[in-house]
Amino acid sequence: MRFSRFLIGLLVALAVTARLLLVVGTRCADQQHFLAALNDKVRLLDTAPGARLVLIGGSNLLFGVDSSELQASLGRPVCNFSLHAGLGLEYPLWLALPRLRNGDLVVICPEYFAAAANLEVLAQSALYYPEAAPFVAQRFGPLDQLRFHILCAQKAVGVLHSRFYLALGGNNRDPLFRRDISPQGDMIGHLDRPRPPGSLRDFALHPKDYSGAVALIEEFAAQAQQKGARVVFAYPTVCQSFWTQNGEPIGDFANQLAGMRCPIINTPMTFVYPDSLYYDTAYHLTREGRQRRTVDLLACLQPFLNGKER
Amino acid sequence: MDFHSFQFLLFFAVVTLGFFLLPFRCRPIWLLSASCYFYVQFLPLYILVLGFTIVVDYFAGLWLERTQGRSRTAVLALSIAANVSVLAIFKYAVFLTQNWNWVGARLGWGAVDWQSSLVLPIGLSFHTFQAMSYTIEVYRGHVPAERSFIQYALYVMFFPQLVAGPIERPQNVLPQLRAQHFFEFERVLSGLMLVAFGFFKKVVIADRLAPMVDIIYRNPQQYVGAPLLAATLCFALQIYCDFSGYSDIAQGSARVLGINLMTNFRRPYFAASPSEFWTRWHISLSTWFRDYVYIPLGGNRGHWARNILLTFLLSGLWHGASWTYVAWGGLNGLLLVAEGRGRRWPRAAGWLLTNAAILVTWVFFRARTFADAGHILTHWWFSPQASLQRVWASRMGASAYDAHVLALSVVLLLAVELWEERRGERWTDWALGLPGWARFLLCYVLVAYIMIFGKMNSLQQFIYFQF
Repeated sequence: MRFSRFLIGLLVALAVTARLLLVVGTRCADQQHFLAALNDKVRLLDTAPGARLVLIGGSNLLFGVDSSELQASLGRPVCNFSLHAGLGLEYPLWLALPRLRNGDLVVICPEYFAAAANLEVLAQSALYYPEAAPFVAQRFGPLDQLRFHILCAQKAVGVLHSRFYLALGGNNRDPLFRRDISPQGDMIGHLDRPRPPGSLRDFALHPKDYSGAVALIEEFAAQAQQKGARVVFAYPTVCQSFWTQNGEPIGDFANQLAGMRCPIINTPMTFVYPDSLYYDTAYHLTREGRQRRTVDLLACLQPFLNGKER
Repeated sequence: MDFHSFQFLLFFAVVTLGFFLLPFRCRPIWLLSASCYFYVQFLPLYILVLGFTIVVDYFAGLWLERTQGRSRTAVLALSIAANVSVLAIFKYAVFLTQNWNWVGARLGWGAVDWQSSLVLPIGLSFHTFQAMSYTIEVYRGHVPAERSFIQYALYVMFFPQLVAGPIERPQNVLPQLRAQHFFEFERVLSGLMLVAFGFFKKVVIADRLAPMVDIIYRNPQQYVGAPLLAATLCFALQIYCDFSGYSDIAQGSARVLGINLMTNFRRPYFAASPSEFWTRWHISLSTWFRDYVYIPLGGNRGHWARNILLTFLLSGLWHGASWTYVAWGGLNGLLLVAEGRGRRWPRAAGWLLTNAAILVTWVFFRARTFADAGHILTHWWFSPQASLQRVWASRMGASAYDAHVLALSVVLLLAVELWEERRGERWTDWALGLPGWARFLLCYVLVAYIMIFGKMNSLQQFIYFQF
């Protein structure tokens, strides 16, 4: 009895602390943080008129297409709904699905092997766009939910630290902000900056089972179809050295996708470009790279757009 | 199932609840089942390997009691051979083959083409040594052979200390496993506080240091000067917080269940001599080697320097199948020999020299090759000012937030350890004497600190799990 009282009291005190931290952290959160752009992206998807081209994925899309160019060429609004690979695939799909309309064409283009969400990134995003909490409550088990709430409290403390640190003259290393994203959802802040030194690091992929990701895409495509939207899948852009290093696991990934009913608009090689066209990671294109990818993406989309839509 | 995961906390809560709700006679089976479940979470099939050593040593113990004279020694030798064989097959086979081929290539022998696909069973070195200590103690007549197979299996498999010790002795654990334990608030609370303190060391400090160390030690040849020294200092702290954190969690969770495991660490970096360091660092292993290797070799009599060196070389090899570990053990042995032959230093100078020497030995423990270790040791004084500025500016890849949390946490740990060193007792024992509200506050602050600053999303396995 004595122990139960002690334990319950402790758990309640910790839960109250976590909640308080989250409230304070959310209020103090810098609304120019990169992840706060999720608000703009959701708003864009809610308000863009007519049949749209919706791009869903991670930062390979965020840094890797010119939506204005796409819009001008296709004659339909383009919503670049991509933001961060750490958000996973399920969360953006979960956010996008209720906002899809008849005639929308959705391109799903996640980074290689980034189908699963990183709880830490989800928790960080919850400070700027709180929908992550109901998403985690719906889709994750109790232990992950507990971990998510603790991570939210941690991120809130991180926000408070950041405020304090900046006020004392500390240097914030975040290179890109919400304001660096265009109204259509493209990252443009990096376009006129020099490439950071030594940025394309080696990154080794390992084969794994993607049946869960395939099922997720299939389910999303079926539900989107009920709303009159069409879904296609695209392999992401990666730099040549990444491709050379990871050809085998990428081939294994492609084999797993081979049976997918959702149409695939390209091959893993389509958007592989020289390293010089990448900015700071194997997925992030420079201005020139982005132009090239936009042209290639347009070519890949042609068969999926009928004459009326064009 | 990692010790510092939510899964473990849930598992531990269920095991504890079941333990105290079940009748006494059912508890050993309950704990053994829980330990089996815990072990199969790593690599299910390897429970058969563990089962093999348990069966062999259980019957060896019974046989030892019934035999006399030479056959008694033969039974002991058989039991030890079985345990060492398991170690040799799973841990040292590749190492032995590589070395055989290296020697063979120089002597013109044919190479042995043997590739092992066996994965090292988790905690193999720990439970094998614990099993060996049982048969040796029975042989020496210090403990009677255990009649109950369940109790003996539990002695080897008891989950808090199954994968990384402390390497217990049968005299300490077997009677406790047989005893009836009741739920006592004070004991349970003190155990939980110890668990929480272990979590603090592991998930707040060690896991925060790990990426900083890795970034340098992954490719040390790219660095000169302060980064090499800073990474080694960070590693010294990381391995202490990692392993002593694990030991605290093991000791604390066993205490909740009524079992007092031996203390494995007593603030080793306060040691003022290498011999004192080894009475404070990984005490269960040091005493194992002292009792079962060093003393049987002759101990302090006769060729004591040879005995020390041999013991430490074996201790190095115990840690890992690599010559860098052997070198680490050898260097520690040399430090003890030098201490035995040299003069006594004033405590402050002794502390400084000991820690500097221990720091050098850690380079061999952490470096992947001798070339890396050589580079680190020969380059860590290069361009001190410029490289120090680089370390300061880059924070070895850590964010400002992580660096600040780390600094605060290390100061707190140091304060606690200084306090414990002066009082000669653990803070968890002291806290039991506090009024109820103060204990609650202390627990709240500690758990909230871990909750807020613990690395939750990048679980780093305990370093000693690989041994």
